[in-house]
Amino acid sequence: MSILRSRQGYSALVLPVVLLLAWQVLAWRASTPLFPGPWQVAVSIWRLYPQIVGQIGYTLMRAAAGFFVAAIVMVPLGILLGRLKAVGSVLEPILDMLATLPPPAVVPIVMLFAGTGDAAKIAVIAYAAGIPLIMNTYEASKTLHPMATLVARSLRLRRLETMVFIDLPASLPMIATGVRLAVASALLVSVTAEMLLATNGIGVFLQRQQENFQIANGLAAIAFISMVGLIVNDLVQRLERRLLFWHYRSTETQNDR
Amino acid sequence: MDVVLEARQLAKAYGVGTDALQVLGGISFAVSRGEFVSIVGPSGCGKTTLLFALAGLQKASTGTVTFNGRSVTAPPRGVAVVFQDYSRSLFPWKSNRDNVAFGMVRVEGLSSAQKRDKAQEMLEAVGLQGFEDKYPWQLSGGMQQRVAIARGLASQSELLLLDEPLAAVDAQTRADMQDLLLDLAVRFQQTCLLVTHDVEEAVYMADRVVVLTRRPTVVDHEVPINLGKRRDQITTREDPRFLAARHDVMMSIRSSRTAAPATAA
Repeated sequence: MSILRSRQGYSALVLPVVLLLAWQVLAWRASTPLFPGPWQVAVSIWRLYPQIVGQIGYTLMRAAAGFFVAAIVMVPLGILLGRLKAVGSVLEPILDMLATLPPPAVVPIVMLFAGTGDAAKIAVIAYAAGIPLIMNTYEASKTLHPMATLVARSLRLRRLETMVFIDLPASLPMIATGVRLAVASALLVSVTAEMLLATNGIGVFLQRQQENFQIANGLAAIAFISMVGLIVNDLVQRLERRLLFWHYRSTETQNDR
Repeated sequence: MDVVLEARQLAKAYGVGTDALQVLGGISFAVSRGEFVSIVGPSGCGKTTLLFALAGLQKASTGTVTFNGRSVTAPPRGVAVVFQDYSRSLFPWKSNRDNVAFGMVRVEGLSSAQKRDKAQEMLEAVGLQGFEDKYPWQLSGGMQQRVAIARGLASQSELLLLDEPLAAVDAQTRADMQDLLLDLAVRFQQTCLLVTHDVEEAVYMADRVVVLTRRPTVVDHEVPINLGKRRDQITTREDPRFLAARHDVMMSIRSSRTAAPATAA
């Protein structure tokens, strides 16, 4: 398994290296600060990384806060709505509508109520992360196999106990999909919200650099954002594998039969 | 004898008006403490509907179920159900021991350590020592159903309701599981009610067989099985009393089947 993974790792590196080389060649030929090559970007990273890391800290903190607010509200709500079929079917069209609404579009409305500070940004992030979380949780809870409910009732579980001990774990595989989407969304919207409600954070840094035609510095920031995105995504996947081992292993053994 | 479970004129219809489907037509019978009773009937006679009504999982249209003299409206304390669909009735995120212990989730007066010990004891009773820390999906179908049976036994039930528990396991495993269930019933003095479509199984397992008619289902008649508590897969099945009882039950099921108009069910 590990051999396979490292081989895949090497072959995955081929394309990026080729692209970087091609980019560097084109940049040399253009020889203008408006079209920096990877080398200039690397120099910018070296020069600016303390500043970038500091700014990305703000961005990540708000993304995390927004994500956790969304998770604490939306996961229980999704489980509950799946159980309350009547309420769920009334709210479903509204959820579908909100799902197509780009998060930056809600920024002006949020500004009216929460201003432009951290609270406003966290609210926008929570909104963006909340949509995939509630959609996936609700869908999972709604489509639970009736057998689970029968077992719960025959064990004389109370409604709340059923939701906590059975509905929630049984929904986790689908919630995990929602979490992956929500984490990506939270990072994305955290940067976007900073660009719209400028105070600090990597989004503001990026915007300043681009406005001043410091293209290499801007690209350095983008490289950092991508890297952070990769690391966070990897952490989420590791956590998911660890918590949902029973889901992956049990589907594997069923496929073996 | 001490009656544990009693059904009186239990009827169930799905739908209303002219489209209504009368499944149960007024079923009456009783189960006494310590008895092993089988319920058998022609296909589509609503055996599972009946069991769910007895378990308090489904409301009957008319009639009553009483458990220990109390009317059953919701799953009562002291009744455990073993479902046919073992793979869905066990929780894949729980180890086998935790699945069994979860059967005691609403049993009061036991610490979680005591529940754990009891789960361990029950897993050993069904022959699954060494599999406590494995997960249900790591076991074969028959072993999964053993976990479900252990969960039913662990919940300190006075009555174990078995809904075709062996319908989905292969024939050899089924014979082993029948003997295991009989042993457990004697060892824990467990009152059992088995619902099955398999006539031989019904007769082999029970002290008494309740034979149902086709829809709308009522009790056709009851057949006492006087073969004692000790049964043997080979000799019991050759015993003239076994064969007579089997003949009796099969005849009445065949007559209700041939009397039945052709239905899609």
